[in-house]
Amino acid sequence: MATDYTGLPSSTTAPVMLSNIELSKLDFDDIKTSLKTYLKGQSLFTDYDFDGSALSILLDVLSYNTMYYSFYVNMVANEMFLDTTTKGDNAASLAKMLGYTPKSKRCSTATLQVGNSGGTDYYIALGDLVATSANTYWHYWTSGGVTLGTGTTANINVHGTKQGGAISAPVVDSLVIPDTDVDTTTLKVYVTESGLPVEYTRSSNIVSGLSGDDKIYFLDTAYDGYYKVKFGDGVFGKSVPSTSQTQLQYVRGGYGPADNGINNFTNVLGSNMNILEVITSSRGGANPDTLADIKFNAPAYFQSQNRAVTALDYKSLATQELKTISSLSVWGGEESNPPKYGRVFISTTSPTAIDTSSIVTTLKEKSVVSILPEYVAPVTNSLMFHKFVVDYDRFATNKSPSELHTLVKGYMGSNFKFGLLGDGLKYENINTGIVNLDAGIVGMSYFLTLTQLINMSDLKASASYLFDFGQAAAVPGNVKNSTGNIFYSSLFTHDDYPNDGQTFYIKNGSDGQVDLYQQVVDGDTTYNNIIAQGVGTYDSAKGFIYLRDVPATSAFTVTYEPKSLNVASKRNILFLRDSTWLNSTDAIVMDEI
Amino acid sequence: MPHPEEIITDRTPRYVDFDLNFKKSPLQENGDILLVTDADAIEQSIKTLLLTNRYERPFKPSMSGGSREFLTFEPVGVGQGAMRKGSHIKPDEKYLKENYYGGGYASYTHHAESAINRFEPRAAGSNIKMEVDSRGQVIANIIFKTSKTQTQELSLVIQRDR
Repeated sequence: MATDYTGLPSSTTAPVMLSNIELSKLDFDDIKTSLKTYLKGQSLFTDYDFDGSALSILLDVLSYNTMYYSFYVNMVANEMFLDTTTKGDNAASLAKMLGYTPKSKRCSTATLQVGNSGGTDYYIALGDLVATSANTYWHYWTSGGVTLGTGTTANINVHGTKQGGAISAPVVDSLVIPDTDVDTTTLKVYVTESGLPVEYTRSSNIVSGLSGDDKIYFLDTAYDGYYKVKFGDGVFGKSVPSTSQTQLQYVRGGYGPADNGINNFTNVLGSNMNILEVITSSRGGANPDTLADIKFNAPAYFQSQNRAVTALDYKSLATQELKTISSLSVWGGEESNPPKYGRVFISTTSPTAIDTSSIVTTLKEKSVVSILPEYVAPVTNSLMFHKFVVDYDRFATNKSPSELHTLVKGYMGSNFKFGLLGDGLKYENINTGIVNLDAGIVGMSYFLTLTQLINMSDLKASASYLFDFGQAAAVPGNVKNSTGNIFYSSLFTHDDYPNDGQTFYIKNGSDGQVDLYQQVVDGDTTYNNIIAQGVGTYDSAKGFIYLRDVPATSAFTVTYEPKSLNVASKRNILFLRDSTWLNSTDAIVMDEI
Repeated sequence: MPHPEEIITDRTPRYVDFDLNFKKSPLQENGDILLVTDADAIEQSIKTLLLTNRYERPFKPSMSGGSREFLTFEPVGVGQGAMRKGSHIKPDEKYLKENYYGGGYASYTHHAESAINRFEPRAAGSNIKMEVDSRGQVIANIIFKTSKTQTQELSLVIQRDR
């Protein structure tokens, strides 16, 4: 028998060399299994695999300890990075390094016209309760207050909060705002100097030309969702001794978005004071930044460097200003139809009313000199599918055509509704989505029209209208809609051609001209009688129509057929699928190949 | 003839475990702790099991011998048969119904037998008999197999020390 003098004796105490113990798992059972696997190779431990054994108890303790520290180390590592942090405090702390302060809750604000019908002046001070609505209390929150003389009116902004939500904290030693639902935009900071309170204003950064005498404060996040006020150091902003008396005043955010869109306010000012009119209904109420908000906004904010230069900067800054924005589009004036150089346009959608002027105000301060930001409302394009035909192969499916129809209808019922800026339609997406519904569906086809509406309130005395569809028009001769026109209007009235009646249509004419016409019924035939040519122009490549002499006196629509099956939401072009389309029985047609 | 330095290992199947008292082995010069083998290992394991409480073992909340749950370790006094058979049983009926025995009510012995079957597979399927003697001692009589043909009887006594 050969003897190994160099190695360990082949006794029961000699460990069998195995692969390393796998301790990277975070699951208790996995760790214990890993330890067991290792020990199974040790000839000494033939008995350990039973829960009652002493070794099993030790393995339990070791596994628990390993799991505990593995989890701990893992969590510490996760919490060190913005991408992986799961705690809001840590995300806020990491966002500090990017110069981003998480947004607080926002009060909804409304503008009310109030009038004094009494015989004496009435003074509304900062913090006074002006009105109530349901559970919300609306406070006046403008420094200095406002005095209404007898018989005078004033438009005042009010902030919605919960009962007792307008706070004036006399002295806060730690300068931590003692409410997590504070609306930091309402924060007013006073430092007592020579016995008098002096208001300090907020500075968002130290690179904005601060001096050591500027009476400013910085806002920072503390822990557990609180905010903290910090003063300058004597170089950037005036230094405030810790012994100084400080007063904080602020409004606590109310019910967030639930406070938006309120039009009915109950006056609580007094018998001689009246709310005469709601100038703007409540808007802008929002919940504070969530963890996901911080993770998304902080890097984008850092990239913008607090300057509005690129389109992404505008998006980042505007989103920070108003967090209820659901979609936002920014484009340079050179992309507009017609071009407007030196402008940057911003358009947004939001589920609740928002104060768009605050976006512009914010962006003006941060945009490049000579570039003026301007807000434009989104233009809704009603997108209609026509001849929506789904091809199927009945030998490739066990479903009946009606079952396939139901499947497609259900799919379209919850998809491709649009409603956000930038949300366009790609044939590839819709085709893939529908073909994937069932093996029997092999393809589909459709064509589109886009419709814009001019309401009565949109009618202009100038009789000129610009329709920007943003898509190249269908090529004449290849137009698929039943009128055969690239674009056409609904019937509308105007009085310029009394000899020809009062109701007219428009459609594309020749050479980029827009024609005004009537439909004339002659026996069994109907033909178009051109009343006037050149009432406007259109650009079929860029997709805009300019009506310069159409003094309509009734609401009307203009329907436009794009060339492609794909349409892109550019600029402020917002698509909404026609709400009636799917209700039509022949909206979706199943066609066997 | 084997070399004098060569250690011949007896590979007869047996059960080995640490001695939970962690005493130093007198046979080992390198300071190894004492081992317990075969019936001693199983005995130690069953003792450990019977004295384990619910939620005591990490991630095994149901692992319990039930001794502290079901037995009232009180001094036997006048009119108090705490350690006497029948009177020592203090099942938490709701817990037992929900966790162990469906609609039935179980005794401590039933619970302990189930625990041994479940968590000590070396004794599982063996003849396990738990009883409480006239002095209130809990006695676990276990006859288990050490090989295909051999059996060994083990008798454990659980009593209140102080």
